[in-house]
Amino acid sequence: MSQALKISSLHMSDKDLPVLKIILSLTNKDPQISWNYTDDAHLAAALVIDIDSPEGAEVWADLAANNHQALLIACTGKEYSSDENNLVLAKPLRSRTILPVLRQASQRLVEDPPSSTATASPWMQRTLSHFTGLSGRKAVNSTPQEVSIERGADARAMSVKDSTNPLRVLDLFPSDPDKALSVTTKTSQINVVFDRARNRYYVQNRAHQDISNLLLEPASTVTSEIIDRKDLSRKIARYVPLDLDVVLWPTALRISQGQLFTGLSEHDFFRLRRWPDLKRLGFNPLHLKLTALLRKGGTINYLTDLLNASMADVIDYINACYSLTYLDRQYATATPGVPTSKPISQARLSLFSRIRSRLGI
Amino acid sequence: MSQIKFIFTGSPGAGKTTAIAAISEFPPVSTDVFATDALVSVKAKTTVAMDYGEFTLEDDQKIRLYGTPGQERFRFMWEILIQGGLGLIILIDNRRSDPLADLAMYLDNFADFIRDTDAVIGITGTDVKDTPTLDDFNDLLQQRGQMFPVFAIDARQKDDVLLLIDTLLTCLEITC
Repeated sequence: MSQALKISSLHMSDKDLPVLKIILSLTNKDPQISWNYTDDAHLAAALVIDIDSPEGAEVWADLAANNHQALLIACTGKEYSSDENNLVLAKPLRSRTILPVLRQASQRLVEDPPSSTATASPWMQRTLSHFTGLSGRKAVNSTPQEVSIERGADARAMSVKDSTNPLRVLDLFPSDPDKALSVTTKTSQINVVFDRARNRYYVQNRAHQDISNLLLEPASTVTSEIIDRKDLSRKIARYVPLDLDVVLWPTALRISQGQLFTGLSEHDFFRLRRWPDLKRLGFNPLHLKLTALLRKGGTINYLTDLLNASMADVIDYINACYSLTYLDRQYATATPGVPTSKPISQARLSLFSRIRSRLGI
Repeated sequence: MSQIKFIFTGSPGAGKTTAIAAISEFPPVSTDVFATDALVSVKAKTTVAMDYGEFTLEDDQKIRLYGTPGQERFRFMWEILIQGGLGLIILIDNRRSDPLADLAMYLDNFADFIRDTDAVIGITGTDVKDTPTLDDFNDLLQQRGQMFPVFAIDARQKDDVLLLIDTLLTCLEITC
């Protein structure tokens, strides 16, 4: 039966950590030793520290000097020779570099198990807490965290975090899918009813199409009313129904400006629940790739790295999906794993490229 | 050498033969017979074995386009035609009595193939009958715990067929 060892990391970059996790998962089928990643560094038998960052170098120096419990592995792209107690993992991270180091680590841990890997010394706990607190982006938890799942988006607050922006009409959308929003402009008394759960808005006069601008108006310029679904049909009896997604999508892209809407975090793990109709919403090759990727889900950093895209473009897309309530997200201080896929062969990629070229796509 | 092929399936009259014709280098070779059942009100002929088209890449590599017969009674042909397919293009005729059930039937019957490859869905006839809506199709997929691209398309429009192919290729590249 395979023995499972826990491993964690400190100050790894958003590019390197997913690689490490994927390669760790390759050890799952090892009949002797498998490695499980944990976000809780206190529980790890081995700890990978990126010493190329100033914070990583600092924590390495402290932990290496203090006879800690866990086996330390220095991760670096530079020439580095550690003392015999520790190991070195060379960057860039590849399976051919990581797996031999894992084998060495498991050999040492099996032959000379630490007195306690489950409970770190008080000194280590203090050190870890101190240094992981500095990193910000990758907080390491002293206790395992529940990963909570939010079905759909919080309907409120589709604006970016900017205290100078007043509350806008689109921020008034109710989060309850059984409620609609009725908005009447104070100046022209135009009434529009938004039912986001049904992807519809209702207008008295089809000629009034400037809904995008209305959504961006300060909330103070309208009177608003939340309507129960049971009262909605009476309210909109003489109204014209129109599709809301074709208005919300470009509006979200327009105001996004590369900043996540309020309530979203760059640490969140996003997954799409339905496929945005990019034919109607405006075809964009990057959006198509992001949509395909987000069927399985991923973090913003994962998406950005994998597609070599700008983070701002990825965030704009996430915001747009969020505005349509197409996103599920998992949020936690623990970093959820990235999905793994079989790597597609170069021959297949080349074939697809030639098919596209032939068809003029 | 194994064939490289796209599989077009879907409800009778949804436009599989037309879609293949839109990108094939020659008019599809069809095994059509005169319809004698309820389908005769929609189209005079129906495919009983397969449609076949192809296009050629720069290196003379042939890309085959196979259309399955739409009717479930010819499902034995489905099993034969999907062998080695790159992915599935499902066309659903929205003018039929229960397009949602049609989609569910094709997803069920091609479940294994889709699991190994991927699928994209084109809804035709929405200009004639606008319900069920694309949201309804997406709701169905969501209820089934599935997520596939769904587009309203006109199988006569080459750009629409290319959108399906492009989307399918992207899915295969990204998530295969």
